Amino acid sequence: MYGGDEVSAIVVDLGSHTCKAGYAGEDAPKAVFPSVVGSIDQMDVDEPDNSDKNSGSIPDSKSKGKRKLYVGSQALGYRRDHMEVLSPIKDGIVADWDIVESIWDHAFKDCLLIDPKEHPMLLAEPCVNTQQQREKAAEIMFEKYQAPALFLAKNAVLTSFASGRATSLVVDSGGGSTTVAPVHDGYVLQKAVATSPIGGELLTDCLMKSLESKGITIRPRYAFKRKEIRPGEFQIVDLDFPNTTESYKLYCQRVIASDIKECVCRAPDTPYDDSSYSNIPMTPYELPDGQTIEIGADRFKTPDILFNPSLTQTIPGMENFAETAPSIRGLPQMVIESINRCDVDIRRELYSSILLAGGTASMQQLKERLEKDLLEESPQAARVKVLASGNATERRFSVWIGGSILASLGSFQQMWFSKSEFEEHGASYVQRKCP
Amino acid sequence: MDSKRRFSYSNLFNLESLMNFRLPQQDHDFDYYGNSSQDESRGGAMGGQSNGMKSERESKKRKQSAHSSDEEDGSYSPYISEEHYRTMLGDHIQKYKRRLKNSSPSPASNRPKSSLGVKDKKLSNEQRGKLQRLDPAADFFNDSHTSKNFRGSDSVPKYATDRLSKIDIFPTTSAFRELLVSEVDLYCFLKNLLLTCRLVSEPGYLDIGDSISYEIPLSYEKMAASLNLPSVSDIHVEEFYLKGTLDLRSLVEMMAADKRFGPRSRTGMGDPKPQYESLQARLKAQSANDSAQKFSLKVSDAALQASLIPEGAAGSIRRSILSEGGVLQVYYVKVLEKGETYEIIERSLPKRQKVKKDPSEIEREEREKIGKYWVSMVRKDIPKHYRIFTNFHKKQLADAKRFTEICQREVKMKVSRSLKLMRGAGIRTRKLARDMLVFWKRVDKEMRRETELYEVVGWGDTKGNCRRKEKMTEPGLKMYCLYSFIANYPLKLGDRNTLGPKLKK
Repeated sequence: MYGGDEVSAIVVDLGSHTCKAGYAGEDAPKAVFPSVVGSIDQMDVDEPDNSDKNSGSIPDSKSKGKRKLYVGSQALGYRRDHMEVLSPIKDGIVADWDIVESIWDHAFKDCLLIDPKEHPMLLAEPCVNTQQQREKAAEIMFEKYQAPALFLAKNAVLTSFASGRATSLVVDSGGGSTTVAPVHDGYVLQKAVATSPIGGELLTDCLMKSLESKGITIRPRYAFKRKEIRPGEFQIVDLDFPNTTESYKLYCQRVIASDIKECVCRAPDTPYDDSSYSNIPMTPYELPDGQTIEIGADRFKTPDILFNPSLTQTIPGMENFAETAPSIRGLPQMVIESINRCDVDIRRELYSSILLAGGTASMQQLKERLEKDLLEESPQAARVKVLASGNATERRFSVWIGGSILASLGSFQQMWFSKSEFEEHGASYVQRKCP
Repeated sequence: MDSKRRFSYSNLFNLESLMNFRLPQQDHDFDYYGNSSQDESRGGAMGGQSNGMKSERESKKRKQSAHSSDEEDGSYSPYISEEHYRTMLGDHIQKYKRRLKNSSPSPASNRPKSSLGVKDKKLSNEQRGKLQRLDPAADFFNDSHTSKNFRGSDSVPKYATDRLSKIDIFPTTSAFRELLVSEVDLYCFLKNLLLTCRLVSEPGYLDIGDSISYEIPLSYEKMAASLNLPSVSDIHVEEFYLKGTLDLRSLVEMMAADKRFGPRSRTGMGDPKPQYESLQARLKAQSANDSAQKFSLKVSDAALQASLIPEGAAGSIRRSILSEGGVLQVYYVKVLEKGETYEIIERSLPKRQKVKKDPSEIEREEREKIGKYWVSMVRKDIPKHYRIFTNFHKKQLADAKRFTEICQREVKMKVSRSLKLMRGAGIRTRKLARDMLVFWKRVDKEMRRETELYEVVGWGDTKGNCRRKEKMTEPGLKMYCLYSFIANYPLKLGDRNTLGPKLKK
């Protein structure tokens, strides 16, 4: 048993889009950076260019075997020849542990500036995490980082804790996917968990494709140069980097598109249809290259994909996703299905505490729309209540905040999975220690 | 003598004493004692050799046994006929019974007397100059023989004496005796003897004349407890042996039979306590014993006591004690000997065998424990924490609100004050200008009157008069200029051209 220390625990929530890390007991994560990393195969590059060295982003990079990984928004913001952008997570679970290690390294050494040997670690994990994944995480944490103690907690559980509830239905709409998970007494009811691949990134892609179809191209920041011809007057000069990879270009475009989405998008009050939204006033947005675009119906159409995934079929360029779209249910259906798979006794309680969390959930009017849809579809007796923090930051980081609360609880300190226990019982002990 | 044997209970009943016991006989007396003394000295030497190194208890045992034979040697040196002896015994019993009826004297008061007598005898005896101790335990065998003899005379079955005579018949060569001592446990034989000598219940002493007195120790039943010997009820002897005569063969048979019953008669003497915890320990001890100098170092009292006693036991003595709940439980107790009685000063249960659990069972239990803790924490602490947090947050918000309000009020007050000042500036300057005009009017009036007065008086426009006039007008002009500058009041009085540069400065 690990008794806890004076040092505060480190809470890490590695999501599919963003990695959140910080000290337990604080109200927001200290370090927030993309979960994707840039990777250059060392075989391809003989010598890194001089400009690379001058950029100051080298400390973020990390050599792993034959490839060099660049972690952090700063390191990724710098364009490098042949740099691919890779994500460690596929379908919600970790697929590449090397990348995860590099991300953890970056979080501990570059962002938080801590020695992982001194701090107990609380890791958030997806609800559908497998046994092997948990054991692997424990192994790395104890063997590589020599952490004194570890705890793995499910995302949904932590979200529930962030709003002080032991029982709730957590609707976590993140970057890569949307998960609906009932939590009862601090346990996720695995059988009733519903997931869909519709997350923030898909919405960003939809918006981007939709804009492209209207003739708007988003130029990544690296692809042009602004030149001041006369005072107050700029000229855009296109730059050409033939060695830039497609994935890096896409990554840069997505960064811009997601900003557009966050700024202008708003969930419609009623299901979206083209005719009723054709005369909607346009909202202007200035792109980094200076051109101002007007966004109309897409403001509402994009968020409505969450409620009606088949809308993707109408967006040109999303065909490959549109094929699977009909099999995916909308958010209200997922919620009702998930609740119906739970015990009858707790359904009422679940209906009355639906928690909205995740980055995508901070979309304007999403809470109201979901509540309205659920009211229409839920049984009469149920008292539907969708809860979401009024603060967008709290919604985005609710998993991390829950972890911060849990790790700073006095009574939690004896629940840590300590290093000595790991050494005595092995990694599989994590299944016992972390419910 | 097998070194292993030395520490067994059989040693307590050193055969020598038995062998040496005999009814007074004249024939080959000397030879016999010679043999026995030789034997004794050998045993004594052995005892002496190990005295320093062996446990006290061990050496005590040896001494006791040595002593008992010694004593017999001494006590039987004067010739007494069998008839005489038996009558003396009879007399003693009569006396003893009478004394019992009155009040039995304490054994403590008896003892010194008898020991003195015996000591005298011993000193006169040239057998050995060793210091002999006399205590009831040591005298036990002597006593058992005498009382047995007495019983034999009392028309009780004569088998005891028969057997004694049988023993006499055995060849008394030292080899045979050694055989008896080492290989054959004579304890069964002793058991038979003890069965017959249960009569005496109080230590008394037996005076057989010629200032020879025997102390009769406590009965076996009483002694057994203090000596850590089995009680009589624990001793099993086949009826067959009690009836027939005892020869070596039947003795061996009997012992063999007893050994077979080993586990049943655990507390019996037939089952000496194993001295070694394991075969390896025994081998070790034996190999150590191969060299004569070493052996006694290896086998210690602690090792002896440790045998059979589970870890964590308080002492080496095993007792069944009825607990308050009415359960008979075996305890290993530490005993404080108090003369004849003892007091259990410490007791503890033998260490229980650790219950070996199935790993899956342990895992299940652990999971349940952790799960229970988790649920209780989640149910109680998380909402509590949240409540505290929200309360704190609310309080912080309220504090912040109050703070801003106070700040606002403060700022507003300052601003309003300065505004009021600014607004009042015009009024104040106008009022000042009015005052000034009034003042000048008055001054003009006074001047006019003055000139009129001068004209009337006839002073005229003298030089001094002009200066005085100047003096009176100058400060007023200066003041007016200053005020008009402050209030940005347009100048109406005096020469603008001359005042202009001054104001600009």
